[in-house]
Amino acid sequence: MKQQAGKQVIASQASQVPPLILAFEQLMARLDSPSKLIYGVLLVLTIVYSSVIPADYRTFADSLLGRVFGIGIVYGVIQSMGWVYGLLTAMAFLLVVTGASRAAVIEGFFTREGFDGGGTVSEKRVNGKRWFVEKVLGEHPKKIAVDRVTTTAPGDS
Amino acid sequence: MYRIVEMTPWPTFLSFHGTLDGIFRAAMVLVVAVLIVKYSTVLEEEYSKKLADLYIYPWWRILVVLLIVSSAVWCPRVGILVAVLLFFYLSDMNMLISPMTEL
Repeated sequence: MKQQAGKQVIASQASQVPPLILAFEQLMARLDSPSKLIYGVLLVLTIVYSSVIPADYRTFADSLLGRVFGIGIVYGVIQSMGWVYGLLTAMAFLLVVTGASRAAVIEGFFTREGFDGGGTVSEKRVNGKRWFVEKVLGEHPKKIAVDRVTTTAPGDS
Repeated sequence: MYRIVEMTPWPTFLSFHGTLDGIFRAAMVLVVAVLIVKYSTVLEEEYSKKLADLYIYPWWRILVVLLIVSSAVWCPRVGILVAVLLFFYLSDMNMLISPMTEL
């Protein structure tokens, strides 16, 4: 009799738990392990901010070694964590690889010298401050082809 | 000696069954496939202005990724197609919003 009364009390207490809390508990029980969730959050951040990843990492990911690593990582994630994590990993890897060539071009545009005399133009090293137009356009020239400006007096033509 | 194996006419992982949920899944696959063909296969096909404006906000891109996860949990076929569609969206927008001097 006492046991039956105790069970009834427990059952009545369990029925008093709000359904929202019950749903929350069921949701928490279904969640993945914390390590998987942390990895998933990192993947989401990688996808969201893929455009600001430095060009060095992108260029490495686009190389032969980087691609082999990337495919291996995707395969390993699918085998160990499941295909949803693998899908996100593949998407993040592809977004990193996609902008590799463009990022390298952008970086080269701002760091390398674009002018090439081809051996026919006598190049001279830049000496002194940058010109105003170079500051505005963000150019950093290292060599110039002409360092003198020839002007003539205005006259009747 | 040969063993006769009964072949199913349609792979099980592609079957949608006849339920309402299966019909919704098939409809979503059709819709997303059309969107992929329309937007993702032609670079000149421009996205709507709202999609272009929303791309710059990180919370929008987070919602886009969560859409992939939720659709993949709901149905693997829909999830894969949505991932393909949104990959092209993110990649195209990342390229198209860049200034011309950086391309």
